[in-house]
Amino acid sequence: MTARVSTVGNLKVLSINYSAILHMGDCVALTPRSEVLAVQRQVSNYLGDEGNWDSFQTFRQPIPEVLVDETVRLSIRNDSPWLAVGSMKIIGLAAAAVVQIGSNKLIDSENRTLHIRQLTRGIRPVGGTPAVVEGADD
Amino acid sequence: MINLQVVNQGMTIGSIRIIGVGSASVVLIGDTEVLTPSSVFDTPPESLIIGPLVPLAPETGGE
Repeated sequence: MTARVSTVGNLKVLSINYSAILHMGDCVALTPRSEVLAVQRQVSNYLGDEGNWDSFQTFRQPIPEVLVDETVRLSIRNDSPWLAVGSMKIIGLAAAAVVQIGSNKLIDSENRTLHIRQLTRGIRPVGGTPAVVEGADD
Repeated sequence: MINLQVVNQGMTIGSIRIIGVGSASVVLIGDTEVLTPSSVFDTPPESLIIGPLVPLAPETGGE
């Protein structure tokens, strides 16, 4: 496949973090990975070496692959070789996100995020609908 | 057998404004062949812990 030529006149990105990629130009493969354990505590007390990835299902469970069991005959004709963008403004890239100006063969990005909240007091919501925990005396 | 014919005419875009690209998302100005973004995001009921603050298992030797 003959790739097209991408042009962006003006690009502004304010922040890139957590395995995100901003790529200008062509490449073969982009495979960013990010694993996030987000812990919020009512009392700010963190030991510094906490967080064993293997003890959480979120980071161990395999992500199912899509099985392609059908033959696809693909023909692409590029009448114009240009992909032109005047200006592009992005505030943030995060957590294994990819922005590329250019072509590639493969992108395989993966992000796993687990949230944990620890409160000293409160009532556990019942029924699954309420998302807010009211602070209350037991 | 699927027969897919793609004809790319010229593409010209004035401006793109994006607030955020996150969690394995992709913005591509270009061509690609295979694209597999995957994301696991979990806030299970067990993730809300109410009680004395117990530290999480340490990074190594926790199992």
